[in-house]
Amino acid sequence: MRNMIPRAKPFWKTYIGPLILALVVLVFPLFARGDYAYLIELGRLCGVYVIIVVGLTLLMGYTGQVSLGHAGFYALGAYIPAVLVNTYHWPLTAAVLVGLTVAVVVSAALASPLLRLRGNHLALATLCVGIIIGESVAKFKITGGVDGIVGLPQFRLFGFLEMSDFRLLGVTVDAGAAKLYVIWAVVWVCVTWALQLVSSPGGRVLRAVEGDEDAAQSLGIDTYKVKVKVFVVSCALAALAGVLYAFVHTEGYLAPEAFGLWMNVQLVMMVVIGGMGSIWGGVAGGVILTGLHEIISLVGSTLGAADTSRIEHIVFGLLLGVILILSPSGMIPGLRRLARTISRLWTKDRTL
Amino acid sequence: MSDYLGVFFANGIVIGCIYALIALGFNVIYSTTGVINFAQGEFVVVGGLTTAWLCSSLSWPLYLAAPAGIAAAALAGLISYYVAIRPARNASPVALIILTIALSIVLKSGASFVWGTDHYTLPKLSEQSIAVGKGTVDLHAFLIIPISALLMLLLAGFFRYTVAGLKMRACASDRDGARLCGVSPDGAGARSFTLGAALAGAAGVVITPMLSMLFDSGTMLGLKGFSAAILGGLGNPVGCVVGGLIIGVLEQFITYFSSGYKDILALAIVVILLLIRPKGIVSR
Repeated sequence: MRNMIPRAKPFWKTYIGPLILALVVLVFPLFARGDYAYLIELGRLCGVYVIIVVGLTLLMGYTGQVSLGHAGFYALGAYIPAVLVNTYHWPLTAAVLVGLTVAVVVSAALASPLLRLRGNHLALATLCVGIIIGESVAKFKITGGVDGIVGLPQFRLFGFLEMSDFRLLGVTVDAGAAKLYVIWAVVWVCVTWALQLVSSPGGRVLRAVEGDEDAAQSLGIDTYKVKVKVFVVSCALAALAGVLYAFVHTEGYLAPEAFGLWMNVQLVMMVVIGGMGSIWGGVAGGVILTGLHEIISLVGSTLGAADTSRIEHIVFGLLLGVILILSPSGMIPGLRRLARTISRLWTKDRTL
Repeated sequence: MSDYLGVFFANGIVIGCIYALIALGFNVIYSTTGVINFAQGEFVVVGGLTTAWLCSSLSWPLYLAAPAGIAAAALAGLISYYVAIRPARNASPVALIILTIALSIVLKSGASFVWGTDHYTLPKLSEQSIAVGKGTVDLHAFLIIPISALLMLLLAGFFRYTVAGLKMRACASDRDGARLCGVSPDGAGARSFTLGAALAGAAGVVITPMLSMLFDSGTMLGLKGFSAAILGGLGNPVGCVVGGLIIGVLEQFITYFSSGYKDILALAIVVILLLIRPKGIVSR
């Protein structure tokens, strides 16, 4: 029996990934300069998405509960503090703290009935909740309707985020890099925590719920409680990403398009494309889709297309379809399998 | 309000018939293959837009364009099955749901390239309208009710009296058992996608004169049809019709109070009903 229990990963294996991630983020602004300075803004947006996707990967990949409505909770995190600041003139920090709390309370209140549903019903219910929140934000007067909210104050972080260009390792770096560092610091914490979680006994509980809920229950796991917890955590991460989007990433501008149905679909795509059952897959999915979005709009604008969103939809849809058909568990596990097959072929060739 | 109650109720029944047709198509696919098809709304658009395009651009008569539109939707369903669903038949249910979402995105943006981003409309079957209470309802709207009823009867007949329908029912009750008896679940699956898409396409053809069709109208229509099927209880055709009518009537009464929040409130009611009765309203 003993060798059936998977051995704990050696210490360095859990932390080598986050370490490399931290290094990549630290040196990234050194390369994104001059003509490539727009990459910094792109990197910030990537970070915002990766935070949501990490939570969603825990929910969908590890616990096996579909949510098609997380853009709604992302919207709550962005809009509640924005309305408090914009309409009621609250101080920023208080608004953000209250906004995050409200978003978490709302998600918990929704989670307790929603997670009683399973499979297809859960997918429909979460999709409806996501659309309801997204549409409300575009309809209500207090959120600015379709025009959104302009002129939101931004986080200053004791002046760190207000710097003009600064020097890093002797190279002048764009001012937006400070914001990038702040967003990716949050990403780093989330990713490291999630990696820690999934390799702990708690992570195995999540996997048990995903594998067979009834069997997990018979082992004494309160599956309902686990599902609600993971759902609320993933919603809290989405709301946190919303805060970062509204008060760090943008220049104080919020519009409802960023939280609509297409955002819901994109989030699910990010989770699936990277690979549902791995945190790094989620990170990769977020980065790949955001990058692809930029490539399509660049190519489109050089070819003279005014509106590339339809091309983007068709490319994303086809990509998602092809990946799901070729490797239903996502791209990263698929590539890993491919690499294993190739290496097996290669070693066989050598022995023969 | 009471003077116009009849109008809202009549319109609700008419829209409900459309939702019921979409839900029935959805249900045919779900029962036979076990796939939750989020692309159902796109088949509605394909049907409606093909017919409208044939009528307006190629000036085909309606009695030719309408079957052509339904056939185009059916063809889209068949191709979707062989290109997207069949290659992934061993994927998990979650992956299949997401695959149909991908399919809907591809179909939707494909439709936007084929037909552009303009609104299309069709002439009504009759320009007359009938007085109901103090308001009026288009005769065309009233004609939708017998047309949908006829389609539903044809569907029931197909499942009761034809071999192909019997095979699909066999797959619905037990896929492996059906395979052991020599029924190909693959063929039945292809037929279910064709039939389900054709039903959605028919819904698209009859609704286009009333709503005017756009390449992305399918999202909400599909979602309402999907909600109708779930409300009625997945896999239950009578439930689909009841669910469709309920959503249609509810939606019209919400429109009376606040037209802007129609979709939001309709979806909120769907969520609440789902939470109260996850197995559907008509379940035994």
